[in-house]
Amino acid sequence: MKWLSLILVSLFAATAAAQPAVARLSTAGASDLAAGQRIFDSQCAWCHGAGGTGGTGPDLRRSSLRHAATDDALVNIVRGGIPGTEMPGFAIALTERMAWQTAAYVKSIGRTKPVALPGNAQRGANVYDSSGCGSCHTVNGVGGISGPELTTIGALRGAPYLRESIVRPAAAHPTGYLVVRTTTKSGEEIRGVRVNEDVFWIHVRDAGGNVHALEKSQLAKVERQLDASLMPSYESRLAASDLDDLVAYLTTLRGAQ
Amino acid sequence: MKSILNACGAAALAVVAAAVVVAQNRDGEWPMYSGSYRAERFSPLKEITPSNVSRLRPVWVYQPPGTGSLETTPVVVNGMMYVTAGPTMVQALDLRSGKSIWEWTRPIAPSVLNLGFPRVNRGVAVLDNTIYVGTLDGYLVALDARAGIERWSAHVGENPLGHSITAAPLVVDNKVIVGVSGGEAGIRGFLDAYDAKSGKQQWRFYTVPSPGEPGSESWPGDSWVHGGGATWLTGAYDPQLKLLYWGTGNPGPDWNGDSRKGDNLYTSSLVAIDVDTGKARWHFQFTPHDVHDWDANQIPVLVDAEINGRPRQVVVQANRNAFFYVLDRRTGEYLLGAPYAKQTWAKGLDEKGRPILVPDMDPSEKGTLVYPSLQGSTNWASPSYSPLTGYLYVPVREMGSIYFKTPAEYKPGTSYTGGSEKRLDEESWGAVRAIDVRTGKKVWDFELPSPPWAGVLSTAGGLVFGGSNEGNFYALDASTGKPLWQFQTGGAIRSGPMSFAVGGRQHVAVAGGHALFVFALE
Repeated sequence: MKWLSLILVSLFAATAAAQPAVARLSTAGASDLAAGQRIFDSQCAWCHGAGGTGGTGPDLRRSSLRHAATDDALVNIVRGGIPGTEMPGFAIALTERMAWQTAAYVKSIGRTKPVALPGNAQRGANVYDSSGCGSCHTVNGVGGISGPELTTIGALRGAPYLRESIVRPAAAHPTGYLVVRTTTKSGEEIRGVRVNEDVFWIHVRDAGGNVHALEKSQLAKVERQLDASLMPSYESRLAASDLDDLVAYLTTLRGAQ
Repeated sequence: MKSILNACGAAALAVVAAAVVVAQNRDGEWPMYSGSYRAERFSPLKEITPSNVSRLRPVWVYQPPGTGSLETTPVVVNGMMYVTAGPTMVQALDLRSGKSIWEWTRPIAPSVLNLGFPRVNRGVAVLDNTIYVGTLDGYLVALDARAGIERWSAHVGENPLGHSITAAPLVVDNKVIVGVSGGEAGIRGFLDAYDAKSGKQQWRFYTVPSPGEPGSESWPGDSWVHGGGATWLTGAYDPQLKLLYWGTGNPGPDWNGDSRKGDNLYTSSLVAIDVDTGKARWHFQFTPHDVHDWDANQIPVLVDAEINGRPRQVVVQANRNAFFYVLDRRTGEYLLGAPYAKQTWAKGLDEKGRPILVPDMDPSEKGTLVYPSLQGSTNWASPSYSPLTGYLYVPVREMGSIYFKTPAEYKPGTSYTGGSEKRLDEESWGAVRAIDVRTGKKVWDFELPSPPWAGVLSTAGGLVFGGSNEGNFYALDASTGKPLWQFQTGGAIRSGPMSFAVGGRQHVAVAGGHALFVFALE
């Protein structure tokens, strides 16, 4: 038992160094949860949606969150973010107690019963194929390159955002998919997604997947279309039930579990 | 000196030349962070010009151990270059080959706090055979310039409470002046002077007065104790007036001003401090009761120019709050002010230079959209002033933010901010903007794809050098802003360019990414 207790002591020490000991999130009272909800509505709902229903950030109405296996991990994510993802840290904005209250509220969201989505994911997979989504998007290694890869999109984005991005792609274009239209001095136009830009060069991938390296001194105009997307709206192309099914399918795309 | 006097021109005041003699580049040196006491970041060297800059090529590149962006401005004296890297390292480099002569590293544990800023160092100060550097854990260290051996260290601030040093110190006479970071940690800011030989503290100026002192009436209750006012960038100095000019940071907590109703002197201000006594002679507060984190630490620049029809000795600053200011540097009198970037928080400035506020622009629980963003219309990246054009060249950040207010609770060694922001990244952009200091009006813009963190250098050769987040290091015509040359460094430029001469050749240096690039004409 001696070696076991040594391990336990060192584990405890490592945890203590990384994060001051916090009470279990389940001990949070009604006032803590109310405070956490206020913080969540102000700081987190921008991405996760009011009530954690998801948006550009994941739906949090899940009993287990893949980056937050423990209470401490959840508090640490609120404070420090998740490196390598879009989730920023809030250590500057929130005191330790506020972060703990926010985490407690997030955990309480996970205990709520998720409202079942209206669509059928299996039928949605067929809608995905028959609508030609795969000509621009890739899932599990198969598909086109013009649009964002969707292999894990269900883990990254909430259903309301996924629906919006199908119905109004221009209003929901993701970071890194800014549409630009460039015009050379001789009048040639190239429209596509800006894949890179510095002070003197701009690189544009057109709808056909070709990358154009353009020197700005040779361009007459660079137009940044903040409200545009290369993806057409599918609002009128899909029946309402097809749209429900497609959204349901996309939410199941969570990569390797 | 001849070239410098020529550069200043016949119309310049006699006092200009006197100040230059004390503080300007000697024989192609770059003796301090901003190049001179006037903090012009102007090089009198003129070998590189608009007509030959297309022949500028890298001559060597230096990569220090470690990772992270370099934010250093090299200092060049006595035939050596001294550069710094984060968290706290000094390298002495041979000017011709770029090879290291010595390296000094302070062990910085991961537990050392840097609340609200990266683990960087921006440069050294030099006096005779000694190099002075501030450390991330809050010390000022003196090193032998010949071998990097430590001579003394002084404990400047308590890092466990959030004090830290990233700025280059400033040497004046036999004193080393050094400021501290920590404005997001609820520190009470100060500026310190240490004896250059012994490291003994000479004076401390608190940027937040204690009860009974002038200005204390602007702090209710004990709010002054954690009132902020950090001094985290290097100031300027006028040897004739014996005055230091130092910008001060935001009040604490940053975005929630409920506990500190009042102007919160001397935060978000410029303070003129007598270098002998450490006492303030005057102050000017740009943003009274700041609730947007608009520190006023941007480099103040000493200029002699005709303002409102009269030759004046002034100090100018393009402030983080989007206004450009011209103040009499003897008295602090407000002479001129004008917005130089997009702003939505003030209708303008009154006759004393105080902002006339637009209502309901404070941070709120639901969020309040305000221009400029928390990082301001400009930030720590140095501006440059050319006495040849009379223009101040400012790295400008055009960006708005949604400002949030949250409760603030002071706990030692943690953030004491009371809010946050959501930046409007996608529509943001940047520029190097030439402002005529005589009028405060924009002369030209050189546009950048994103709000820059790179400083600007102007030269007697008629050039302006600047950088971009996208890695470009470029030269512009100082009169027109026309781009003339560029080099892709391969990493974001978050440093100030400088210029020096070795072997009779002018060089230009800038850090991009984690490397230092040195250029000369081929």
